[in-house]
Amino acid sequence: MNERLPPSELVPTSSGAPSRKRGSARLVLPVERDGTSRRTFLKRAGYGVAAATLAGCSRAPVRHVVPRLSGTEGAPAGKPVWIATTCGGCAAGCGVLAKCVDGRPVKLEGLPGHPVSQGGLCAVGQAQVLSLYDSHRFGAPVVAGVKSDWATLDATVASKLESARGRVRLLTGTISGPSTRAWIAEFCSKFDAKHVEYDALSASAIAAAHSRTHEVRAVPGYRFDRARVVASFGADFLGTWISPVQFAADWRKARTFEAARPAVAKHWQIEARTSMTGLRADRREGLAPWETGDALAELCDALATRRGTPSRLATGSSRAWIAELAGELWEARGAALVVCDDADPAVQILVNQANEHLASYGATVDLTAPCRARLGDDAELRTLLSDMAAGTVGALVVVGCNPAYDLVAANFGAAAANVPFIVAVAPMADETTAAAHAVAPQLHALESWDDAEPTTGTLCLTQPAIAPLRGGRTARECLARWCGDARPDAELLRDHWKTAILVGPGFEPAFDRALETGWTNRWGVRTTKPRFVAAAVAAPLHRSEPEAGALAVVVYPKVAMLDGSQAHNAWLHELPDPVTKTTWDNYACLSPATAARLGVTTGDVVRVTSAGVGPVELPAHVQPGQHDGIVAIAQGYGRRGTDRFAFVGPQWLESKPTVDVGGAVGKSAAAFQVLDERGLVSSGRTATVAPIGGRHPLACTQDHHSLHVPEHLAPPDGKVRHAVRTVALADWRKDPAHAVPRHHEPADVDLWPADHETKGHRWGMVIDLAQCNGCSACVVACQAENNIPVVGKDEVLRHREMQWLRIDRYYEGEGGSVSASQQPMTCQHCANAPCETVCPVLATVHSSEGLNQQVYNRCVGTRYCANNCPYKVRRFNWFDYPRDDAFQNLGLNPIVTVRTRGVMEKCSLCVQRIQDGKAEAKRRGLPYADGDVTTACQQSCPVRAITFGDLNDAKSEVSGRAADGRAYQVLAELNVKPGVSYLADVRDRPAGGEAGDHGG
Amino acid sequence: MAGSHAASAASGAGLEVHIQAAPAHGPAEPATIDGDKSLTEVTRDVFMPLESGPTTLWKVAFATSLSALMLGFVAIGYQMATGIGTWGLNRTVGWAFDITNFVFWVGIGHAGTLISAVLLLFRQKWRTSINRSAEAMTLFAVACAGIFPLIHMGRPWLAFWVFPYPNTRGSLWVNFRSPLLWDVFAISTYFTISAVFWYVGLIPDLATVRDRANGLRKRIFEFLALGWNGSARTWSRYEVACTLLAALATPLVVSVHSVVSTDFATAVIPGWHATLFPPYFVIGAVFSGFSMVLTLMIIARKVMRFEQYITPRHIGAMCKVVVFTGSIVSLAYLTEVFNAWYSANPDEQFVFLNRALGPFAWAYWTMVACNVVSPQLLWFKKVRSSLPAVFVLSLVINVGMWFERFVIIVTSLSRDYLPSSWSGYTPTLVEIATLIGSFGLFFTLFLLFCRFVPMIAASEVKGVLVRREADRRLP
Repeated sequence: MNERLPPSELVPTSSGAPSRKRGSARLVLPVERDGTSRRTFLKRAGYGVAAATLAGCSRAPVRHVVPRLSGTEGAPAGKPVWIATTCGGCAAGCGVLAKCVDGRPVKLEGLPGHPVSQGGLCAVGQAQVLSLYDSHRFGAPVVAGVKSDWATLDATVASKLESARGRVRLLTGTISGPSTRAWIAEFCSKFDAKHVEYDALSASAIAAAHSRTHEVRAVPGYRFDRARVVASFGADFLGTWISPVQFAADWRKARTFEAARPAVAKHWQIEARTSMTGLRADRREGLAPWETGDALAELCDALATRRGTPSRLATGSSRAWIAELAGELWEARGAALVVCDDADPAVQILVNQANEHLASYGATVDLTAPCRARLGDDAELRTLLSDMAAGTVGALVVVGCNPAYDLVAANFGAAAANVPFIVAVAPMADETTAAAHAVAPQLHALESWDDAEPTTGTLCLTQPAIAPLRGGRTARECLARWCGDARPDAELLRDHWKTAILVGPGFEPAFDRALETGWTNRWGVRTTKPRFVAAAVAAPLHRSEPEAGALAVVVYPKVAMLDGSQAHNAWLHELPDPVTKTTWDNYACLSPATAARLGVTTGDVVRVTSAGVGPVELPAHVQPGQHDGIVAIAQGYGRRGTDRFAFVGPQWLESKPTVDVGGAVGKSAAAFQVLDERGLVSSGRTATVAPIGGRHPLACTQDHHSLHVPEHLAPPDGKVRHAVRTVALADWRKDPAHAVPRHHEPADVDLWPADHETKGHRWGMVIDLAQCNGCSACVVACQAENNIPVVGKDEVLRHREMQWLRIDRYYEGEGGSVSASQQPMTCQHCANAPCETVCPVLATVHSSEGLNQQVYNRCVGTRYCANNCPYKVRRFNWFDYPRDDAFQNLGLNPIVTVRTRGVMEKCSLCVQRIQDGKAEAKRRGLPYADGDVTTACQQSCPVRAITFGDLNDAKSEVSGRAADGRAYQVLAELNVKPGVSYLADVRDRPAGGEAGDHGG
Repeated sequence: MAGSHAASAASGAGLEVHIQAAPAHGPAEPATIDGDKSLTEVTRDVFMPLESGPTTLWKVAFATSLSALMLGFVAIGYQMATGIGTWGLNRTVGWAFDITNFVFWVGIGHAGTLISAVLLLFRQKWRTSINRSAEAMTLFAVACAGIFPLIHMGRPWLAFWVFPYPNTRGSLWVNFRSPLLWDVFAISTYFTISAVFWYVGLIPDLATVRDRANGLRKRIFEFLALGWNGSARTWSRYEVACTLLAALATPLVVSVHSVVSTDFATAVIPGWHATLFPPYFVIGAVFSGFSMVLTLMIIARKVMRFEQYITPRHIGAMCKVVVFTGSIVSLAYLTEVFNAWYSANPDEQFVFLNRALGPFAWAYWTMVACNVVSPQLLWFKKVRSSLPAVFVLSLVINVGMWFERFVIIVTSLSRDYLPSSWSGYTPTLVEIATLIGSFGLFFTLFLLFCRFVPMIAASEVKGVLVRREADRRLP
């Protein structure tokens, strides 16, 4: 349409070039020229957009998740089957319910009503389900370092044992189960062998002391529930000492803080290092490990004076608090309890003397039903090691323990070199199997038939929750086979119970009932009450303090790692330690003063050197509340094979391995222990500590450790945050309804009507800070229930841990009297949730039952919700976390989605369990009743600090506790109306105003 | 300033209209265009970069920008493939470089709109030589900004879910209460209006390119010029369209950054939750935008040899805007601190103590030095008229404004209510590369713009020249 115009029409235009000028006569001139018109433009643009849109449309791949249509026999598809059994995590013998879905155990829960654990379970217990699906477990026996089969192993072992008859030794950890003990006896008589038991976390000194003072070699049963005053000399009885779940549950009963019938037992903790238990105490005093004997002698003297039988055991100086402690204990005599973790029997004798003065025997200390969770005898262990060193041991059978790691200090390795044949019964490769000539794979507790007798007379049964996944045997089956009895394991157990435990008619129903409940009482146990032998009491040898510049090494167990038997459990490695909040490492804990003297800060590498021990290089950790004269190092680290965790987290450009390849998680501290005439002593050496330069950053989940804001940043009225509220016991007693200090509570006036009306249920939670001791069982329970990934050290260092439930630990005070509040913090399910308003795509919404819900498949991952969360409880999937271990994945909870990268997640108040509970109630044709639903954290809590239920039900327990005088809501001043309330902490401390409040 | 030599009066030839720079009456006003330019010369000068090969300086600048852009592509590609974890964010600090960059770039855009729309409505003639590039800068800055909300998502491939469209999910709508959604509307509106306004303004000049070109180039520009024929009616329509679009764009200058500021102001986080934010952000945006225009113009007049079109007068005028807005920004900083003190809210007070004395104090004081102290130098005429000094200051202010957003976002998030969750923040290489990449994108687009589109609105410049000529001829 090239329309040529006459030149006269050409005039200059603003564009500077000749252009056509349209005259009035040409107003209708077609504007199209050179083939491009507006219309063409629009067409082309339209086609372009349409083409681009089509090109962008392709179907995403569809993946189907097909549920099983039919279940296996007795296990309907998708419906859980609960199996009562006994935890294999340690020797405490807690009862567990294994939740099996489609034939697989996916979650362990505390067994309600169990005589030991009383319905709770600890972090280690919770994590056992992960160990079950550990792909590093032995699949087949190993003979002479080569993968073999059971026939070869049995033949080899039988011939070796036969030839070593009379020189066979059986070395085990504590085995309390009567059926296994019966086979041990059988084995010992067949091969003329000797059985030696030891505990890496030894309580041998307590037993030894009682054999002197009461002529009974036993660790007594401690009855914390009967105590009104407890003085613990270093015993971490809520965390790691002997049977912590039992003790914590008992201790709760002594401290209910219910206004109606208050039980308010007082807790003194006298310790050198800072323990979880110590931070919970009403009164905490520092005491160096070398002073324990002196202090106890003083205490005994003070008590003896009050009793009217003065003694002179003490020689040293007087400690100011002894008189006060003695006075309080004496006031509570008959309900007082002194416990101590010292490894010296001479010191333990003084503890017994103190308990004798306080009339504790028969009341808070029970020798008629002793504890059987620690049966080790360190004296026998010494004998064994000297026999081995002397070459008089012909064959050593090691069952369920790891002496090559535990007993480095006693030179087990050198002694073992003199033993011609060692066979180890072990679940997976460890230091001992490396030194063994044959290895028999041991079954996991969840695959085994077994029994345990944690307290004399209380028998717990272990039954398999799944058929053996990788083959293996229990210790009992191994011993029976080697004794020539080839019966199946279940039969061995049953026969023993029939002939030795539930003897007589009625065995069948009684055994079945025991299997159903998980435990039973031994029939016809009678024990006599031992008498106290006063003559045994003597002043202990005065231990001298380390020379100037040196520190006493204290080797201690951590809640998660214990003696190191849990070193292959990633959940436990990533569990923030209740005291230090640090994951994936052990470290040299130094007091702030000592650290300052040495010029080190947390993360600086120090070299710990002790006579006769190769220097150990560890990162320093500055630990408030610790004694200046010690360096505390956690045991259970540096385990062989833990370099498997090098790439446990996401791998990307800047990621660093969790463990150096060929290294291990942490360093072993076993060399700092001592095995001498006292026993296996954990705080036995002195050492020098020196910085060597270099840093080893510690993956700590908390950067700021106090509710006090840094001084130079504190506004005049804002020196302290009020997240945790503490009330002095005296104040609470005066007025339980109004004792809790209030801070900026919002006026109960709203401009708008309630955003969400919850007419049916309104789910809520109350957490009692006076009960919570920080044991972190809830954290692992949540991790197991909700398929929370493990992210590795580097990610934790980057503050990207994924646990939905965290425990905030805030220190208070200075020096030896440092205490801490432990505050479990999870999604508060706010009624006015700040996260809900800001999500652009409605991926986080309020349910009709008061839950703040996260819709994973709607989430696009803007993270605005997490930014706007005042509690910072939301967790973001920064990566697709590695889930490559198909065997491990068998342990995933099939009812909870595994989240992909890029979506937000957080506590759901176990919405899947709520739905289950409601469905179950409906199926039974009953209305929902209080207690039909428990969340995973609540279920696991040994001290029942967590209450969950319907806040709309005025009669529910949770409503009652939410109305308690101690109840408050964290950050209530923001008017977000949280669905989670806290009950203020109560401590027996000097009363008055906010003295005890962290607002002091 | 301007060369005030009188040109010979219309020297005959109808097309050669020479004009006198100084107006014939009224107070003496410095000329906006230096040199004695005829309309033809203007055409030649403005279209020269399009019609000749690139200069060496341009090649160097383009290679650098393109490299930076490629680096950004690699970084974003890696991040998309691997996860947001490749950034230094954590459970406490959920936004850092991403949203800092977003707010920074959106802010940069504001000057363009202000110059082209607001100054158009106010009939500020000096804007003519810089408005085209300022508008282009707006577009490119908003394009850079738009990347960040997209890539900061955990699942960016689902980004379309933020648009309210009928769907098969129920129908599942977006959350109209979320400021992020308001952002979606604000930014998309802003980009659309800016793009249309810019394009409409370009049409006469595109027609000129078309008329001067041959072959494929001619066909392309024919298409782009939308059949412009320069008739009086076209011009009339054009003027009306421009005014209407300017009127539409003007409220955007205020609304866009006000909406962006609600991302923070509506949150409960101390340091974010402030009613001051909308005006504070808008003025900050104009402040940073003008600094960026200064940076660009000082480079462009050199690289593109436009010294006579972008004159010290333009620079001086913009400097005055910068010192004015900079002072308001300083006032906003003071007001924030005052409000925190006056609120008697300890959490709020802590935020400002923490900013000034906490772990990110270095960022805070960088911000203060750059945004409060440095613009005050522009009170001095000597500084204003020294191009190197103005150039350096414009860079310093841009650094400062980037840090302002960083300080607001990161220091507030890193230490909020519960001390247990306080954390730090360190950027990763990927984040730094992404930031560099966004600058790469900006300058790559700008340099392409310089080469392929008339950088100076020739038609408008001519309009100014013609009007002056007309003024001069008045009795």
